Amino acid sequence: MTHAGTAVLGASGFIGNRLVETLHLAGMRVTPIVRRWSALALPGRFDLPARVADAFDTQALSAAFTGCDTAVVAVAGDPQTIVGSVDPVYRAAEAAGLRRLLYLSTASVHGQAPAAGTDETTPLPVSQPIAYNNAKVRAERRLQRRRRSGSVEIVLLRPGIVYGPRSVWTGGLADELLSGEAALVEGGHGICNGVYVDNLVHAILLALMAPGVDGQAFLVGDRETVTWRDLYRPVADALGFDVDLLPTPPASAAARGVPLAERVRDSAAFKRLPSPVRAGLAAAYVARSAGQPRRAADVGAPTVTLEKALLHTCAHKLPWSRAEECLGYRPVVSFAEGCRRGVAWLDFAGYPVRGAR
Amino acid sequence: MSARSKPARVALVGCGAVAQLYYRPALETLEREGLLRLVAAHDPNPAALTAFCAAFPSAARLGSFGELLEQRPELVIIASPPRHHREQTVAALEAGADVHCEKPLAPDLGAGEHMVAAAAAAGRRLTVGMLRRHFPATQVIGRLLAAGAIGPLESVDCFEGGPFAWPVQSSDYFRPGAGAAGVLQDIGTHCLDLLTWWLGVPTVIAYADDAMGGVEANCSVALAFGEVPATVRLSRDWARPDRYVLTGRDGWLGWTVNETNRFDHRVRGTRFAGAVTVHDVAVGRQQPALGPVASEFDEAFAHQLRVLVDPGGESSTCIDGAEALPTLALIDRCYASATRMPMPWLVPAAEPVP
Repeated sequence: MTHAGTAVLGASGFIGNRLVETLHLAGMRVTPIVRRWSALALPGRFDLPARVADAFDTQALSAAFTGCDTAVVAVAGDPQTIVGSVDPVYRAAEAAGLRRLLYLSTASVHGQAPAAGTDETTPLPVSQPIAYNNAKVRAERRLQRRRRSGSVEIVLLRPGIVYGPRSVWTGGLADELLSGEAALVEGGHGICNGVYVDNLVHAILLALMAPGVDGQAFLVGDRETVTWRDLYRPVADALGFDVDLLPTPPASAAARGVPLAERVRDSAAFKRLPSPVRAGLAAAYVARSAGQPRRAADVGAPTVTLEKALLHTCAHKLPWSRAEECLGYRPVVSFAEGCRRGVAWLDFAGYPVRGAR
Repeated sequence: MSARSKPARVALVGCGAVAQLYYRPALETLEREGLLRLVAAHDPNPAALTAFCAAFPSAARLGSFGELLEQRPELVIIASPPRHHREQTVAALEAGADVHCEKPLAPDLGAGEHMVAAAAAAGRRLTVGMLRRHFPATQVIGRLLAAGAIGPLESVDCFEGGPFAWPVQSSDYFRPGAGAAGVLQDIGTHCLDLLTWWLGVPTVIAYADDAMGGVEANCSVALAFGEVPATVRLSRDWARPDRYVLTGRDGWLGWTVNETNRFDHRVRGTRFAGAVTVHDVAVGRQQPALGPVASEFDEAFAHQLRVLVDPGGESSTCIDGAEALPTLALIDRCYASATRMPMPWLVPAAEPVP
């Protein structure tokens, strides 16, 4: 599909990793780029010409892009990183002579509970209550400004809740269940604007090549309309929890104050820690609760963040008709199959999946 | 503290992460105790060499291994990448030094056997940095198992790992042909050594990993200690609780990886289990009593070097290079019989969902 190869910036993240897997296993040229050598553990499973470059280092990025004609920007980080890395990445893409940059934005630019009728044409506010959303909006705008005076095409994808192997919406949910922190706000009957990771990867591959889409943004989602309860159920079932016994706090609980674990997780000091350290601390926190009986009714007060409250009460299914029309996007993995693959990965990763062995 | 007339002359090869993070503080401690003096260090990377030697201003900073041996060290610590271990160890032994080699002793069994034979031929001591055997908790667990504290063993289940964070300085760590080390050779060396030390040499029943032309980030090992099944799951990918559980007819023992002085013990027949904190035994008491809590990680690391240079130390706790050979053999067998771990989510995308 791509001729001179695709660079994946953020190749150790779960979307970047899946993109590298897909491109390489399909015989296409791919160059994983990570921030530090230790992040090559997953790309290192393949004998690939991986490179190391910081998303703020234009010179290193430009060198890393050499030999590619497209790049996918899947950089994770705090709001400063999200916004601040746009210019260096774009300048590097120009210096390397890339044809197109694909920027992984998020459906959260429209908020976690977008209003009815929201689509790609809806104006994006930067005064949202969640800093991540505003950062992504600013990053999109900065990239569009760059494009107006720059030479490299841009395409922006706005996936919703990306679930599947190594996703926080799959593995993280399993951790929440095992630690007794899982909850379905208002019963979890709100719409989950989910997209299985392979559907997103499919959209990425189309967007790298589609003609006439320069400068455009596309929402990407699964075909099915599902609720948050639908997303939780297969993971809960796999781990032996009854999803119907999960706590169902009201959305108003989000205003009662942020639980300690959440405050720690969201603190600037915690976010400054290297991601492996954060993961280790999270695992230790989970381990602390290991061995507890798996009766959801026994768990304490659930964690209800504002983000979760908004997500779980969403009433609008974001459309992906523009992606269908302009990119030829149609989901290639059903919701049921995506969940099945997610559970298979949970077993692989060492979670206590029932009846797996 | 020391019975030495003068500090041992020690040299170190390889000033990367393990040297900087672990050997440096241990050597500083032992220098303060008057047990040794770091006389020289070598690393081909000048920046790494300078950074490491900042704590040892009198140590010669040498750009070649040959120059290091010319300093006539009594003990050479090999902390370089495993692909250099054989060549450097043999050269140091032949130059008349004892050698302490960081784990894994060698990239494969053949190299390890060659190093052990070289030590015997030179009449020098070759030890290996199987650090976890120096943890008070693992020593107590080993004795409890040997004493049958949980009855006949029925199963062993180990998980260890999480997102890879070791501060490697190049892509060589992941490149086949450039000295790459997958998760089995890396943390698997520790895990298999500990199990072998506790339970004897197992049989490899099955081995699978996720390498697809490169080096594995995940692996799964099925072993048998006699009739007792054991599963070992190692990961550089996703964090799960790092825990070893050994279950017997009469209870179980649980150990969290790198806990130097704590473990869990359940005795069947009650609904209770204990969180055991390991102490030194108090000395000079009429009744058995607890002394201070047993050593933490840094002290355990220093201990493995202290016993090499302190004539009054517990030399019986030195881990001879030959003791690493069974684990090298196990790892060789695993790689020789490797299959692909099931990863059903990797299947290509299907037709569009109707």
